[in-house]
Amino acid sequence: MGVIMRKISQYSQKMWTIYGLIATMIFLAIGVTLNVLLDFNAKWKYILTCSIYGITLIILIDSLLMPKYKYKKFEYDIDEEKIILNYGVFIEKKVIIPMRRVQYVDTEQGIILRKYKLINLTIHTAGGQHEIPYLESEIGNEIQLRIAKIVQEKII
Amino acid sequence: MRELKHQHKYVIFSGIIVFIKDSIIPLFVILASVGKKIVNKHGGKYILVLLVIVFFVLIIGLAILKWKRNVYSIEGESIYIKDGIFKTHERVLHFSQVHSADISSSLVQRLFNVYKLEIDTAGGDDKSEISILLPRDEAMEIKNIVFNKHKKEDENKEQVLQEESTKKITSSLNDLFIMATLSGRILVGFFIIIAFYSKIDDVLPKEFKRRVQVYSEGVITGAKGISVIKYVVVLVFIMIVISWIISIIVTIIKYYNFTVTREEDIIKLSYGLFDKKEVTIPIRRIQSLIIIEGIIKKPLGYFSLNVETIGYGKDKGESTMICPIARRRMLNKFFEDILPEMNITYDLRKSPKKALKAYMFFRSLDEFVLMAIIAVFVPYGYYIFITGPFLVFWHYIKFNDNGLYYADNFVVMTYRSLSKKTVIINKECIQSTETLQNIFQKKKDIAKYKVAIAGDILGKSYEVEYMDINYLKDIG
Repeated sequence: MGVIMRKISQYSQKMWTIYGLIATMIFLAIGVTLNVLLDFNAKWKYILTCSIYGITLIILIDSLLMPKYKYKKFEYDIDEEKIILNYGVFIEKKVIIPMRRVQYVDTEQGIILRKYKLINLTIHTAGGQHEIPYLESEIGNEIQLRIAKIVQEKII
Repeated sequence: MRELKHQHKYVIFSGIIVFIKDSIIPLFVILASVGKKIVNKHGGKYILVLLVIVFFVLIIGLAILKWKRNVYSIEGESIYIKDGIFKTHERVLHFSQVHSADISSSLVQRLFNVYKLEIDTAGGDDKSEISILLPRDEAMEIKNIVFNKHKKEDENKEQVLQEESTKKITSSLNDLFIMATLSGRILVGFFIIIAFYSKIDDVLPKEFKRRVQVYSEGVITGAKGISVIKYVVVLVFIMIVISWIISIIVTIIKYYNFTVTREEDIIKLSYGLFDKKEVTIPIRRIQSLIIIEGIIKKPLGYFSLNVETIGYGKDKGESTMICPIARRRMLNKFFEDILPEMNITYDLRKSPKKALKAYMFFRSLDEFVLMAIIAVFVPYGYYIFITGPFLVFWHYIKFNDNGLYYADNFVVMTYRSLSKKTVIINKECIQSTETLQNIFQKKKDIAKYKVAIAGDILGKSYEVEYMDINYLKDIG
């Protein structure tokens, strides 16, 4: 494209790790509960428990190793005509949303995100929604206002 | 002051029916619980009868009141509607917001010469914004008003068009036969039979059942296995024939005299034997047109057409069958007469040959893993590998059917799932585009292309796999 794409916040790596670890804990809890409560007398019980442990392991690895690459790959750009998103480590995705089609933009900030002054931005079209995660608060809010302004102008 | 009009009096009748339908169970519960408590000397059964009479009077009163309070009027550019007994509800709808106006009537309604007029806007509301029952003439009149008022500016243009307008395509009975035979409706018939099968048990006389049982037991315990096979084959054959007949009847009742008419900038569909349905689709609401060539239909020269529209009908985006079945040669006529907007010539870009190997590998991989599992665990399971070559061949066909074309106004995509689909998407309606590339594809400059259009909550998207990334880059 030649255009310099914008990046999301540095802290996003940390966020992915934190959320990944939370998911790991939940799955680990489920796995342990099953392990304790089930008396292993049938094949499917082994398979179920093992697969949950497997998922836990995968999520753990994902949350420890992948955030660096996820951060590296996630790029976005917004201009008057369109919004471009690039992301995905193993499967690279490139999304183009024409500005005329944007219906509204949501922002969302949880407890953890607020601590790091980050914000999640979701762009809604009639054909679905697209998320730009972990933007710095000011930038996120600014983008939201900017898109709203552009959309309004387009409609008039 | 507004000139308020009432709906057809049929509403009272249908209102009563609906009330009864909704309250019959609670009524019985109340009667059953209260009825026993009333001691006989206090009147007993008379009170019960009185209760029922009061109930019916109440219902009829409510229905009449409901009809009386429900009024509509048309004033200038908008339609006004007011209803509700205890809580009044008013709504004003400007004609420019109207996306579609449908007229339909059921068999009973037609006996009373009542037609249901449903007016829809783009809103994602489940129900139609306005739904009123009217005599036929009035319904037609309102429909015409709704659609003509907001086009008055180009009246001159209209008159020119009117001479050459009203082009239509009708499906013949013959086509419907073929459609019924080829469609999955046969399976529906099959299920109906199975559903009835359990009911038959209660209906048939005991003597008959006993004799059947004796006969079938005789067949099953009979020493020769051949007769069992014959029995089963005949049974299945009979079921197929019956479900075929059911499917033909269902299809003909539903799609009898299917007519597509083009009038200026709307397309009208009308079909049905008992339940006459009339559907109006404004051209500007059409997002995409899908030509479906079924795997059995295609060799016989048949195909069907769907359109995807915005804000039409019950959902936010809806797919409407615009032509359930037609012969190949009708396609040109369809594009010329009904939808000249989408009559474009296109030069499809096929999947590059260099992608074939990867495509085959990835597509076959999970199937072969599955086959291996079956071969290991199921006795004689290794015979499943016989299907391998067929699958590979099938994937090869699918690969060859991938295609993409990109013009200023339209995107054309072809792909095959089971039937081959050609999708023509109006570029104005594209909500977002996506290109997806995994790490293997990146080396070979190949990607998947995905287009999303407005649909229900999840949206609707079409995708073509294994396209050349350089071509996609041009698309942007």
